[in-house]
Amino acid sequence: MAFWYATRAFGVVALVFLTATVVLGIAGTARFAAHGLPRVVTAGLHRNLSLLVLALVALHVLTTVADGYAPIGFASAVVPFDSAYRPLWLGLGAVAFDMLLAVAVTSLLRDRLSCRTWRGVHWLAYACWPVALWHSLGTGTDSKVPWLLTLDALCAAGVVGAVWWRLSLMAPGPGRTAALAASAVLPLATGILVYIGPLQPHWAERAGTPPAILHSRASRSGGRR
Amino acid sequence: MRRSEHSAAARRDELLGRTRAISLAVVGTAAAASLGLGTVFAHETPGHASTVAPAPPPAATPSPPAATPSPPAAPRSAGSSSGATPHHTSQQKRLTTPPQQPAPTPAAPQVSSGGS
Repeated sequence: MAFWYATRAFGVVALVFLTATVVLGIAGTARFAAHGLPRVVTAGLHRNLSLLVLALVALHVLTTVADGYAPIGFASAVVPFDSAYRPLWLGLGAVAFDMLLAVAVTSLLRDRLSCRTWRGVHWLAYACWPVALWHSLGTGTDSKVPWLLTLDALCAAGVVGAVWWRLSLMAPGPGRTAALAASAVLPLATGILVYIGPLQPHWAERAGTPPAILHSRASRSGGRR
Repeated sequence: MRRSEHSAAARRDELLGRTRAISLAVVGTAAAASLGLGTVFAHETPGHASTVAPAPPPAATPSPPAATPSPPAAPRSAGSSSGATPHHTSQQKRLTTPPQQPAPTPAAPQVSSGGS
């Protein structure tokens, strides 16, 4: 049981620090430097935070597999949509993990890659964050908890605000317009997803929880939600 | 020239030290947040604090005598699961009888109205 609590805690903390990593990365692309935080410090923090996020996600995966409550193996952590437990939502977590691994590995091998290749892979970070958020909302045991929804909303506000600030520094053009549109549509879509998904009854069933777990849940008084 | 190199190296070391200090603080925060959140989840989750799951209605099985002690397969405390088998897997295998059956009432039922 302790593993189940640990995996949820590591997942939430990983999302928060992934948010901080993305915001720091966006700030870095705009050559942001605050008083007392020169660029070399923010760049170092960005790198260390991303490694911390990888460690937290690794712990998240390890504790999930070790718990044994849900039929989730190590393969499901890296092979998307492979799991019998909430395949779509767990698969999104695997996609986010794969993208995070790709970003981290190419950053560690940055000296051996061309700048174009590294940058192209690093753009996956922008996709990784919303996918990780959707994984959290869809498969998270605590998606309905108000303070966690607030935390998710704060994370989304942080990333969207950073993206908008970054886009405001860009010259107008089709790329900027598309990015602005995406940064407006994605939070809206996420809000709709939360409303029609985790906030509605029987979400566990609709999300793809195996019947055996649902039945075991029903036989207990308010087991894991 | 040498003085400026020395000052640049000192500045670099100072910045790296600041990065390291902030990173260590962040790691500590992450560890504390993980521990705190895990504790919060452990206390908030329904079923963890409660010790006994509600038993299914005993309609299908004959009732044992009232003095029968609790069967060994009675649900355990959710927080006290130990050993190789987690409590949730042991509970999902079989339905258990309640630890205590309601005591039979010896008195006849009282009719408050409609009796003749």
